[in-house]
Amino acid sequence: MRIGPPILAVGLVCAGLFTLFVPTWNLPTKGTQTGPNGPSLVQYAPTGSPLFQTRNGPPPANPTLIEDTRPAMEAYKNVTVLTDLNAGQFMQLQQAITNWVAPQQGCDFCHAGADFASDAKPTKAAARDMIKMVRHLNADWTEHVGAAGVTCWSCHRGQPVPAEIWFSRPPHPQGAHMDKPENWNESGDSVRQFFPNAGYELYLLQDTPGLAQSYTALPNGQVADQVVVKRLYEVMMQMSAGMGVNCTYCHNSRAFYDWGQSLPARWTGYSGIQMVRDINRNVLLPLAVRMPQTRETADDPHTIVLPDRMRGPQEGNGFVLCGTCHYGLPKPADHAQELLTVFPGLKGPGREHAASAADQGGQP
Amino acid sequence: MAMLSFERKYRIAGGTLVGGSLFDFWVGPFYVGFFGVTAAFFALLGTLLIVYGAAIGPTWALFQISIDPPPIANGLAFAPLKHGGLWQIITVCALGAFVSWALRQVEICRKLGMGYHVPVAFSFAILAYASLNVVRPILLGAWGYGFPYGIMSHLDWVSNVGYQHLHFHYNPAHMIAVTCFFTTTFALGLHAGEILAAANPGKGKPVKYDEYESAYFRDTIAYSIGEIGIHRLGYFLALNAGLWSAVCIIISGPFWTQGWPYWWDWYLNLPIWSTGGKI
Repeated sequence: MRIGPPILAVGLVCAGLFTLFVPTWNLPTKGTQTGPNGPSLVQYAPTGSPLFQTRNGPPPANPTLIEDTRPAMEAYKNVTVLTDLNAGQFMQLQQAITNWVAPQQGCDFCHAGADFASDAKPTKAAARDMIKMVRHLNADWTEHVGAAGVTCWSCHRGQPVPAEIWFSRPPHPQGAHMDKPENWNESGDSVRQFFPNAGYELYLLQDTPGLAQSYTALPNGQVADQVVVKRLYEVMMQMSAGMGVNCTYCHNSRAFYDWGQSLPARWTGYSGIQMVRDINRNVLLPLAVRMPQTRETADDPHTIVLPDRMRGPQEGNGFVLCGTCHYGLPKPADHAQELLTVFPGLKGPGREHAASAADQGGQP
Repeated sequence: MAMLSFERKYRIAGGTLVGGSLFDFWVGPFYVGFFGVTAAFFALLGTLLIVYGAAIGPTWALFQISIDPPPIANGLAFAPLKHGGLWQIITVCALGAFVSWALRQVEICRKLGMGYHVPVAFSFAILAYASLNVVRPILLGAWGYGFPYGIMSHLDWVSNVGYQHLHFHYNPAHMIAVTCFFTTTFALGLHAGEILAAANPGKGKPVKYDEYESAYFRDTIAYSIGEIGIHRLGYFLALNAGLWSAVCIIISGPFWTQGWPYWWDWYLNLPIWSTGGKI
């Protein structure tokens, strides 16, 4: 008997069963059209990672507002940021911040024991920077956050350090990684986790222009460095993964560069990149100077607690990217619009106010 | 029209699938047949509808003309003529013309007593088209997933469907299809080189035939697939290129909605070395 055909048949059946059952397939999904009829600008239902799904629950219940209409600056000592609130609003916001950011650690996460006015802990200064940042984002970055705005909950979701952040890291020593000086991560359960961070530094920390695609069909002398293009790809992929959308949410992919063929969402995304740069450079980089540079895993509630998959010594400081807020959805499920109506202290007067105050000789 | 000396023996009556001897005649060198008539009808109607679509559309610029499918919200329903209805009728015409042509090939095969290799091979090309504009839209629940009929617009469609999966080269079926496409052209190139060499041996040397060619390959690479074998191999490669193209587009969307690079996470998550989500 010829043994070829039976071996081939068994092999095909095995390959078929393997293909059907080993990879995780999606069932048929109806997509959403985001552009004109022809060019297939389609988003399928977001199917982000389980990490994202578990963080998109409702925020904790708001603390009750105590009627206390004295200005917060009179009722409490050492109030420097939330100067426009009354004492009742101030206390409600303080409690809400604890629920959003440090529910396990409580007030002691930032405050030194019974002396709430004390600035002894570096986390308190960090929290002040963060509140200033939220007020700045809601006042000055409406281009990106729109009317919905952001709150502490948008990123923190019950954790002192948001689940999705990135660390600037030194490059591998030359030749350490199969003779390849590429800053790849070396383990992970998704190919995303292997991506290096170098692109984030170029595009989310520094002001590198993303001009890589040629404007003409034929070679025209315009040259893009291959490494720069790779970095740009890494940044766009964190954007896509962080928001749970594909490239055609913003771009007509035949002409990525062309604003005239792009969808309106691209402008929101572009202003988002500018906003992330603003946060990373003007808020988190100065913060890094004051925070310990190498951190071990922290079960001690008084130090920074890192998400499980970031445990171990980390060098440098944490920075934000698109997923920090978006958690796998194009519009973050952070309930910010409702929360902002309850907590007016999270929206600041904005840059224009600060500028005019400075003109009059006042403190910005 | 003058008939070539050997042509008469191919002019065989009968073997038609439908219509008996109704269209069983030749016009010049071309066999007509019932399916020749339907192919011409569908091709003409479809082309005229494209021209009509261009006429009621915004432009006569050749590269910009596009007959778009209905919006996805329209689902699998009939669409108004100006909003995808034309696309639907043109799609029917295209399939009508392609299938008619395949059946006309069947009739010619029957006349000549050949196997059905040619119509079967052509059917794979039709399958690829039907996968794109019929099967996948039905699986996704809307005609709007089909590609538009226009020079630039269908390129936009191809690019965007690729980028909906971030990096289409990671699509496993696309990998097989591309491999078959390249291998079939590579094999054809090698085969052409061999035939040209055998048929043009140089002045004063005899033309070589299959036994000589087989011996040559047995001497140089220890194996010759043989005269029939090389054509079976080419047929296998070409048909698999079409088949896996159809598979790769049908699984993109209906069975996998994320980036294709992430599909391969199953490899990282094999129980052999997976850490179960923890690094």
